[in-house]
Amino acid sequence: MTGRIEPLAFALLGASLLAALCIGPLSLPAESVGRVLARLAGLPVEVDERAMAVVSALRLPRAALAAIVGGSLGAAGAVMQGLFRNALADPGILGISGGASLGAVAAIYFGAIAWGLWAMPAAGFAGGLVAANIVARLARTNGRMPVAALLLSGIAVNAFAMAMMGILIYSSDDRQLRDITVWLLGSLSGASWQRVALVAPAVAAALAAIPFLARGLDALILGEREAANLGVRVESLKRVAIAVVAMATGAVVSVAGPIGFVGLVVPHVVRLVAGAGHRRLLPLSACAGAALLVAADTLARVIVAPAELPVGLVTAAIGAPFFALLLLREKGHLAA
Amino acid sequence: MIEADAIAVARGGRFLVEGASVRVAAGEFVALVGPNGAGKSTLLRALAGESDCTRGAVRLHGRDVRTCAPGWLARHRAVMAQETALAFEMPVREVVRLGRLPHEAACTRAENAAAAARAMALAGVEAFADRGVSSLSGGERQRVHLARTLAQIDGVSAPLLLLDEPTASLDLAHQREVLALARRLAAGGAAVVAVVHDLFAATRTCDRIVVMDRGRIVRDGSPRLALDDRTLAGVFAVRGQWVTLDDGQDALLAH
Repeated sequence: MTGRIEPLAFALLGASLLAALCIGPLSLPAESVGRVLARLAGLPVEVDERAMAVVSALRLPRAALAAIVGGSLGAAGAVMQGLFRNALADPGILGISGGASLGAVAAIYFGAIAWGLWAMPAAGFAGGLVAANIVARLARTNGRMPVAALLLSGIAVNAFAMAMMGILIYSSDDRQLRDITVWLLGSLSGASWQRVALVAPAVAAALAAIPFLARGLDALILGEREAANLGVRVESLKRVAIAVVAMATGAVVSVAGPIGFVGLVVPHVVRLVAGAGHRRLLPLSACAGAALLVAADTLARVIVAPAELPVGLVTAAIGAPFFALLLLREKGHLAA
Repeated sequence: MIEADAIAVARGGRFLVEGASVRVAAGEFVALVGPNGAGKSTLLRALAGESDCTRGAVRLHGRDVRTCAPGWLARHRAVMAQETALAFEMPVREVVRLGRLPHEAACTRAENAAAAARAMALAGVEAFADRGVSSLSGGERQRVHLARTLAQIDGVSAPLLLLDEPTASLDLAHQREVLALARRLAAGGAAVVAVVHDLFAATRTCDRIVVMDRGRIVRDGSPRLALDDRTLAGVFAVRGQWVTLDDGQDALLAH
């Protein structure tokens, strides 16, 4: 049965993308969406102009952004869990989400959003990279970065970012406060092709490196010592993994806010179904994360129509009970 | 093949191993024995190139293990640790396949699968190849990691095999099998160094015994020479009686 998982994951992603393009205030039949996609691909087909406008300018960039964000979080979560050898690790563990959030909140607070669409993502991305850098430096002793030290530095950096954010929030005016609060809930509502273009390079660079991590992360399942004995340069593996996760997470948090649970639950579930080998786990987590976030965002758009929910609330509302369910099922193993 | 030249390993200002010199040639099966805390595992790690020596150097095939590439080292020597804990559940077959990681660039998938299958057959873990490791007993797990270690040296000419208490949680029959296997591998051209506590088993199967005590190598030679009455009394605080078994092998009964 394991051989059929990849097609299934792709089918899920395809279905969720199609649903995201069809569903909304203007309900479009799949056939009409298909025509629009064919036209966008350059084929000479007749399309309904209204459908064309809605899909190409609104739903397609939003679905693409959701897929990029979800895919990055899923893959980054899988990398972190492999690196920390722990199924409870997630992309936020190294303080990257905290740093990126602080950057974005600071951009709102200091009015940098007026400078252009790129200002907040840039500030968030920079915040994430700075946080990852500080964590890595704090954890380094004698040229090594013990994972326990990484974890503790991550906690320290996250706590500091939270404190700084608290100060900014406390001294914000009402309008800033609303912007910050909504942003912190995690939302894709500002999606546009420009935003897609902003995150795509960082995410593409990070995802391109992921296949090279799979071998080392597989060896790391046996422990750092065994991995080193199998010829893996464990410390460079850690550095590359952290850089990859910092880039991918920093980029997506900076455009979409901190979206929880995708990076934690998706790799966990994929591992249960497809096994712990990272050659399958990493791409499948990306694919499943993308499918999940596209579906969750579609839900977020319609569940309280005509308004919409921040997608972070949807992922947390679905993810938390699901995770609790997994925990209940596995409790026997955990106790053993 | 492997050569440690007056090495010292210090941790936290204390010498765990000091002035240890030992050479093991291809074809030899050496048992490393000594009381708890004598520095056996530390010496084994130093031979593996895992821990840096404070003084002295370890050479494998003439190359300093500190400066040679980790990939090269992984293709020429394999280490079985006392204990290996998996971070995530995996089937036995996949754990054994991890032993082939260093050879992935040079061998095809089919070759690696065949090597893993041979290793599983040697370690006797084929029967539960598709089971998850967490469902196995301690002894079965130990044999899985032995299989992984064997997979790593499959097809390597004159490999170095370092085993840290490979028989610790095995039943009697498997203990004997694993040591006999190590002996066959040595006969096939490997150099094998194993930490063994059971002096009876060590003297019965090994060519040479290296005795460690308080971080130093105190004896090194044939079983009868290395484990003389004085060493047994001074290092192990036991008395020994040599017996000749019906297969003609001498073995030590310590009491």
